[in-house]
Amino acid sequence: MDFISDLKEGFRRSRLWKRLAVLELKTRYQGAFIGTFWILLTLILKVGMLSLVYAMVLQKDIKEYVMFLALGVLTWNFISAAIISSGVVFTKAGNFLQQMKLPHSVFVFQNIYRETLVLVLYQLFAIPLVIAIKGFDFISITWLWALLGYVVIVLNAFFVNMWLGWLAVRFRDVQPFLSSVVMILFLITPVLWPPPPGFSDSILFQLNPFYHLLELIRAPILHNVIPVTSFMVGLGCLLFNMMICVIFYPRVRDRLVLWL
Amino acid sequence: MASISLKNITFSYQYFPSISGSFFKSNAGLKHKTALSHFDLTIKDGDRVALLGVNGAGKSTLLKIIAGVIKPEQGEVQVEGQVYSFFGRSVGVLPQLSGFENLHLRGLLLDLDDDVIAEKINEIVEFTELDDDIYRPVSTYSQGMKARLTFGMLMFVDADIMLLDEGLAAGDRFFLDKAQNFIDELLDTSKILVFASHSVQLLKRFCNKAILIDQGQIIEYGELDEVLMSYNHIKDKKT
Repeated sequence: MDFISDLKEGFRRSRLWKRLAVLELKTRYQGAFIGTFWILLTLILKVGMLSLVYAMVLQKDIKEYVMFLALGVLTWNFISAAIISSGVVFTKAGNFLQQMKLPHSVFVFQNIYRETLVLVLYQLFAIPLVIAIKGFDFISITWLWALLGYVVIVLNAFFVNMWLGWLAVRFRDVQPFLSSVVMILFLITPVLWPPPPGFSDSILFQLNPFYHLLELIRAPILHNVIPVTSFMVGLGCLLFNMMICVIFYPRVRDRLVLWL
Repeated sequence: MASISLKNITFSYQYFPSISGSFFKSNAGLKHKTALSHFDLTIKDGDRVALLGVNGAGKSTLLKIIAGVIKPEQGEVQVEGQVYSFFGRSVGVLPQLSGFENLHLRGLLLDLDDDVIAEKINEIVEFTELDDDIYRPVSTYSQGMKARLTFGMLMFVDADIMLLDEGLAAGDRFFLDKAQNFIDELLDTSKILVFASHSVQLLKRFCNKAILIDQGQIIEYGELDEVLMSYNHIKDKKT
């Protein structure tokens, strides 16, 4: 079975991975009064507190800043979850993989589907927030580019989850390393602060793919601009991640179970 | 026609070393341990085979290779027929979910249609007499109820080839009788059984042939009673 047929076969088992993903989200909040609504509440709390403090620190207009922050934080949450969860995507599935033959992609689909559900839930807060601040006139057709931006981000997340997942199973150093790396990336990527005026062309930002991934969402919604360069970077990353998966799949296919 | 044919199989486990040693000592690097070497085996339609061997002889490895879960480094595996594998009791049961959810997931794992799953779950709930307990999280189950649930998972299949590894003792005595009858029926419909167990009683009941494995090699393959004799010899020698 090559990589493409693994994907096809995995996608076909959608009833399985959708169910697993939903159950996983629900068990996370098992016994909680407001259940999965916590996902939304923690985002609202985070954005609320951060914008109070950082609008002051960075001396920004709080209305403009809260929108910038909300879109940045929720997109970043998705990206960081996709990276960190890849550390356990296959170990978590160990019980199943050791009992029957299943495509690897089933569990990657499960992971990404779960995070995408969360992402959609986040939009229930972000979109009304933007509209509440800017009014309905602010909605524009350019927003569709942000939707396309999400497609690029989710696809990237899928392939990264796959190959980082393999890597984390084979090399046990990877998983503890991942959350520290994500933390560093968070601090050097303009999530909480916009690049200072005149510095957005700095190579420190332009060479950071995460900056571009965030711009895919922020530029169309906040500035009504289509971020062409960022799309090129996003698609480039996608190609790169797909290539890694295609190249390494034959070597990992039969060995993954042994490493679990 | 169901059949299993293994030719010249060699397989070794890969594992990370134990975490012994000093604080900063690296635990990286995969180690290898050969589980099966140059293994040949043919099992034909109608064979009910007991796998015998001391702990670590390679019984579970052999079952996993037949099931296709692991692939040998060398050799050829040919399996004809629908395989159902059942390895141990806790494997694949998620304790925070209800029994019902676990059964449903099992059905999805086996790639069954929704209506088939619903139908089977009804049958299983009725058979295992779990009634309303089926909606409680499995973590709250008693050992006996867990055993009933995992036994119920066996009922999903009409497989040609059944691979069982230990763990069939199910619940209290009343349920055990019921379970035995069910297994009898199940074995009538499935054409090949490969059963690894240390319970001579269970093996005698379900198997007609036996394979004796020691250190990754077949020592003997034949009628159950004869092989059991040699197995006891090996055991005596080792103790």
